Amino acid sequence: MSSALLRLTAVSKSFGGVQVVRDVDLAVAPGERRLILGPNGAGKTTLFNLITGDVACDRGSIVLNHAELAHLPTARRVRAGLARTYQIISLFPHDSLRQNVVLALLGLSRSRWNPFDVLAARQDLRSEADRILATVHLDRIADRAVAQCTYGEKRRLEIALALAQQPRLLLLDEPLAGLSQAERTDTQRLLASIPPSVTVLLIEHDMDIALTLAERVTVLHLGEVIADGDREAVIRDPRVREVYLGE
Amino acid sequence: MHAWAVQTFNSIAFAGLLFLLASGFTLIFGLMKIPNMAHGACFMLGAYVGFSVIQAGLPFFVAVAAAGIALALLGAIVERVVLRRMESNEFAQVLATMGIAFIIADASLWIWGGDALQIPEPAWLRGPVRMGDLVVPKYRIALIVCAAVAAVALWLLVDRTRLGAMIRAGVDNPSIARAMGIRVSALSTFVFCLGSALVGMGGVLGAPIISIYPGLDFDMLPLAFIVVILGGIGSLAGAFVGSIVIGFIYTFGQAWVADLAYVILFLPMALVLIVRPQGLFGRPAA
Amino acid sequence: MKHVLIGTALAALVPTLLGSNFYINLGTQVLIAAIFASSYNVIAGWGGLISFGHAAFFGAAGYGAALLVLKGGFGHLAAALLGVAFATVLACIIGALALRATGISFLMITLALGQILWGLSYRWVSVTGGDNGLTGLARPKLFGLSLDGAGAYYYFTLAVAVIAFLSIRQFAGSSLGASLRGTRDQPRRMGALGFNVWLIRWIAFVYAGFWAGVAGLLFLYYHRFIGPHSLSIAESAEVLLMVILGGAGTLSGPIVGAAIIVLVRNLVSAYVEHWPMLLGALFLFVIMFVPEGLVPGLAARFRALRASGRKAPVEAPPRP
Repeated sequence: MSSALLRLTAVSKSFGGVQVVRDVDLAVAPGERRLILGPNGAGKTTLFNLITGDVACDRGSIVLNHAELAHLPTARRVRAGLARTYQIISLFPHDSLRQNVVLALLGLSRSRWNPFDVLAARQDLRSEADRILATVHLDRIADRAVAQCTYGEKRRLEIALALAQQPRLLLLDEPLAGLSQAERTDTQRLLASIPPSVTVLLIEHDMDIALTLAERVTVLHLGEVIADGDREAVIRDPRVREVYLGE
Repeated sequence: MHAWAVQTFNSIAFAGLLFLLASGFTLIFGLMKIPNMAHGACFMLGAYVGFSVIQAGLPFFVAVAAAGIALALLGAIVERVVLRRMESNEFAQVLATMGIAFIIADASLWIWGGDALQIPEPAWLRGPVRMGDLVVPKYRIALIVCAAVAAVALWLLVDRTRLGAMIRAGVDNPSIARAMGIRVSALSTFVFCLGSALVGMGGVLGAPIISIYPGLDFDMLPLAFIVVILGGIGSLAGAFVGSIVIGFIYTFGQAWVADLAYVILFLPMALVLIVRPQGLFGRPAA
Repeated sequence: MKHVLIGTALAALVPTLLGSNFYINLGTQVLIAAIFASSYNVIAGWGGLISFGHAAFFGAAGYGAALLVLKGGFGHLAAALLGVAFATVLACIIGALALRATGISFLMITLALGQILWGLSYRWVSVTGGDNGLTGLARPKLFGLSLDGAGAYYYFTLAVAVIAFLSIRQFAGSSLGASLRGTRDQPRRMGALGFNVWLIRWIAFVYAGFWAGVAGLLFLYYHRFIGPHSLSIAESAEVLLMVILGGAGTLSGPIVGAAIIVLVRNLVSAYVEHWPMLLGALFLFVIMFVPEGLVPGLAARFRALRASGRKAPVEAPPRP
């Protein structure tokens, strides 16, 4: 049981009297792909925010690779091996795609503190950034400013930034939202190609694609876990069907 | 004992002036989320306008009304022509009000010159009055009364009218207010005008006590800041309490610890901001 | 780099080209303002932290050095170093306090703390001379050469300015500079990328305070005087004006903004009595219509003119 990469125990959060996440237990094994499902308002993004530290939990423990994260600031959790994409695109709009990835690479490098390190001369960062952009098929427009890119390209850049951090645990918050059919297929291939050394936690509403990516599913409803297990078992779970069909 | 009583009285009078200065500032800050850097300049401009009206031979309270109307008009123009353009960019609005402050300051220098000017109190308010053991200037009592009237009127407006309810909603949560159909932009114009009018009238009312001079704008602006930070951004009650607290600290401070007069004013403000950025009574940022 | 060399060469020619002491002194004032504005650009332009109390460091260095020389009997070099050190330490403290907040709260904390210092300089008359300030300073000798002459002091200031601009330019182009800009654009994202946003901002704040102190020191020895005005809101507002006018977040913007304001104040004022109104109106115009500042605004218009007709996607302009 201690082989879980991520273990949440009794994690809870309320905002102004409203219990948004209630006593959530979660154990994710290394290399696993876990889908977090639930209707809108179920607390999925809040759960992600609690894991990354964007929001502080009221109670409970969050252990990543045997390290307790619950009271650490986001930047420290990231250095413990966490990375995420955001539901709302938060990229650096005036910078080029390459510059965005370089910044992501810098985040885990000592040289981010160096006032004498001339960034333009860092060929190693540029090459690595180009390599990462190539894995998400954005290398041809590496020089383009983010503000000039399409929504689909921005979404892929978000994933590129997260992969650049070489995380142990990757949190993807609705990576397919707003994409066209062709873009979804592309992104599905991309997500499927993430190496098994990276454990993935995924929030997604597109059930068709999400279920091809994740073997295990956790379903949240009103902040509580109502189902947790293999995808086949969860889909057939009567409580899950009630929550989704009884809407 | 006598000195204490005099200083206490002066503190209350100054508090009244501060309330006229700070009440508009807090409403604008609360609704539009920006500190109006031109607020001090509007105080000064109001005083200058009042001066000219009195020079023209008109009575004192006409001067007060004229200043109020003139500043309300200016406020309307500034809000609609300049600030409205940058509705979503609060920093740009703050900078714009700074530019306006500079323009007002120099225009005032142009029109009224660089010498300090005096507005005498109206004849019927001149001279002292005896309150028990105390001898106090009649005018300061009148100032306190005016500030109190303004306080009551504002409280009635904000607490008892629909308009006031809309303003309070806009201060608490602009996005929900908009979703409820409240036209926050139009409210902003109204509040900006009201705040400017109040401070303009305050300028005239304060002039017999503090003279009118170039630089008055940047002398008064920090005081508005202190009162509002202490009292809470967007809170009239806070502005009321804050004015009294600062009125006392300022008056007694000048008398007792002249060297550190500004330190004891700004230190509490800095401390409050560092510990509780929304001020003592204000609500935390949404 | 070639821009820096050309600029320095031109600047070095100013005394010979302009001849009269009045214009040479004007050049010195422009350089001092340009250093001050460039220091402010570090936090306001690249850090996105608009402070209303930057003059505190400018004035603190001046007062510190002046007090050490006039009342402490210190030599000029020691006083200068300690003065700038004082400004830097002050920046460490004020930065730590003010950076507990961001946005408008940050603005107000810096205003309040700056006002405390101003209040001390204005009211603590026994130490600071109050409104009269501190006078009676002589300019130091540099390696035995007198700096009393307008030309001599100009070249001294120019040398310091070049060092300042090169240093700031280096900072901006470095990994730390890029991190700082990241915290301006997307602070939450930067945290999620592993950056310590608070520390990056604090370091930038202290660095900015250092160069503001250097400018203040040059100011002190130029005027042989320091007064409360150097610590005032008006002074903080003016440096803000310079940076916004010229272009926050660019290298040459603050220099251009500083030049405009100093030249308008000293030259235009002879012809236009109400030049502050002019500056206020110009400032408003920039805020409303050219918010990125005059240098980037004009550069963009120029680029657009040259590129008119082409429809290629826009490449990201070179940063910073």
